Amino acid sequence: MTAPDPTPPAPSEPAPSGPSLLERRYRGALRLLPAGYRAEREEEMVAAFLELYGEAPDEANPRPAWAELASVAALAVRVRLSWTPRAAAWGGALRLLAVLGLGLQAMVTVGVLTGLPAEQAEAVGPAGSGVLLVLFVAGLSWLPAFAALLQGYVRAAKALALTGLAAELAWIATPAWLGTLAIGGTPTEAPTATSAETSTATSAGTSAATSAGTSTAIPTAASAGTPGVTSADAAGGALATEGPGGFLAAEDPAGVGVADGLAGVGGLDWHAVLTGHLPALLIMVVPVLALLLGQHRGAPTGMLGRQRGATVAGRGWWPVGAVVVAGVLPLVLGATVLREPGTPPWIAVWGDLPGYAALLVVVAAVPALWLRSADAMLAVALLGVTALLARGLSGLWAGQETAIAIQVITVTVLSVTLAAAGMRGLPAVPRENSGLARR
Amino acid sequence: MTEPMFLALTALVDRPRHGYGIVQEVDRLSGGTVQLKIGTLYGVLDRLAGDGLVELDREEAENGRLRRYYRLTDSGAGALRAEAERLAANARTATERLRARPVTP
Repeated sequence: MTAPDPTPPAPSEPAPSGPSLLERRYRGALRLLPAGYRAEREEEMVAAFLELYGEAPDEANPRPAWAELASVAALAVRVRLSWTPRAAAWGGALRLLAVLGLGLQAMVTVGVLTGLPAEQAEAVGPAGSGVLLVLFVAGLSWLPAFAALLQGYVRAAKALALTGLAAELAWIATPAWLGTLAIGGTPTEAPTATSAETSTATSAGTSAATSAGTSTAIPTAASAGTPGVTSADAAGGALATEGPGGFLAAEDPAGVGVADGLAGVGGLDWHAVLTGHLPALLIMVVPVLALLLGQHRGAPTGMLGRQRGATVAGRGWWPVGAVVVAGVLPLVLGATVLREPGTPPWIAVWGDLPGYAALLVVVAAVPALWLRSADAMLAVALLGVTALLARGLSGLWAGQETAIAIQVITVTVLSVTLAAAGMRGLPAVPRENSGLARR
Repeated sequence: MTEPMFLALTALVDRPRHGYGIVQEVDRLSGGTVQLKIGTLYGVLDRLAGDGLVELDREEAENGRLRRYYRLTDSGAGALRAEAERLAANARTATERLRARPVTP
């Protein structure tokens, strides 16, 4: 054993009349940490903190620095997702959810790229607006984000996913300013196609490419490129509002109300925001949050962890397979006819983004249940809840109620089953946490 | 291996240190550019201990406060050596390329 650290102790005399205000406040911040972790670490952390900053008189109203509080908060997130086997399982579920969610967006992006109608390509191409082109390209970042995540480049995946999210937010705001920035008109001249119209107008090579972040972006761009012409017109007629495969949110009484009350506020088409963009945002935000929380610094290695190049690790491929199957399935079923007026409702309801998320839940539920892995089942259940919320926000389609009801019931049953089985499969809460000192 | 992890391991090469001692030594080793926050330090220690690179050496009470000293394990020394060699190789490559760079007037 080597000699002790000769560092002289800081002037931290034990307070005879109890802990100082600074110590009490720092201990308060440490309550963010799990109780088991605090039992192991609190005294040590407090001692180190007080040695670093010294004692300060209560009269000075001392507070821990924001950077110290932020470091404790970050530690709390990391510890809570890995401290116990139970917490680690939830961390694994979040990482799986991130893979599924980013995969979903990646498939949507593939659909957009393979099925970009000529008018819309022109709008975001050289003849279109530079701003829109930049946002469009940014919106495609889900594809490299997914690839980066699979390859273990977690930081790159986070940055790319956040770029995609930012692009979607910018697209939502686009109608408010595209008139002046993009085409030199006024905001009110910009067509206010609902997401329903635009999503149908943009239907790409895969049915998944509807009503999603990048796909909602494209029709908006199309609208910008053809001022005075609705996106439905630009895409070849009133298909969006008349065809069974189209969305009727604009005419749907269930879709009006708050949205109509907000009409024109801020130059935004609030109806489109609430029924189209909000579901899309939800389906984007949830996996991004899962990525940020689940892929913390202490996350385990492996394909769903942080080890680069470890993509072929064991069960890690099943979520990728589920994403691909869910993306290809509509093609096999002939759902490219989603754009056509004769598309049966039972197919059409799986064609927009909430529908695609629901389809992914159905496909991914099979391996999750087969594996009987708690994190896998919880991840798919969380995706199911997200899909149901998005479906609820997107409103009802006239004439599609039965098909949507079947979809909602299917996803609900699967989500509840997976959640119940996943919770049962979680490791038991240990009576006593083993800390570093006992490792 | 992140820079805080690298510096924390380096700080433990010569002797076991406690939390505040590691913060001080990292600050000194980095020339003041890396000032570990306490939450960050214990996150780093958790990871290093989880990977078997550091371990508990002993506990002491100083002025009524708990001091827990950590020491570098053989595995930690190996990992630090490998990382140092990797960084040195990168630095050599960069230096050689910079040396070969034509000087612009």
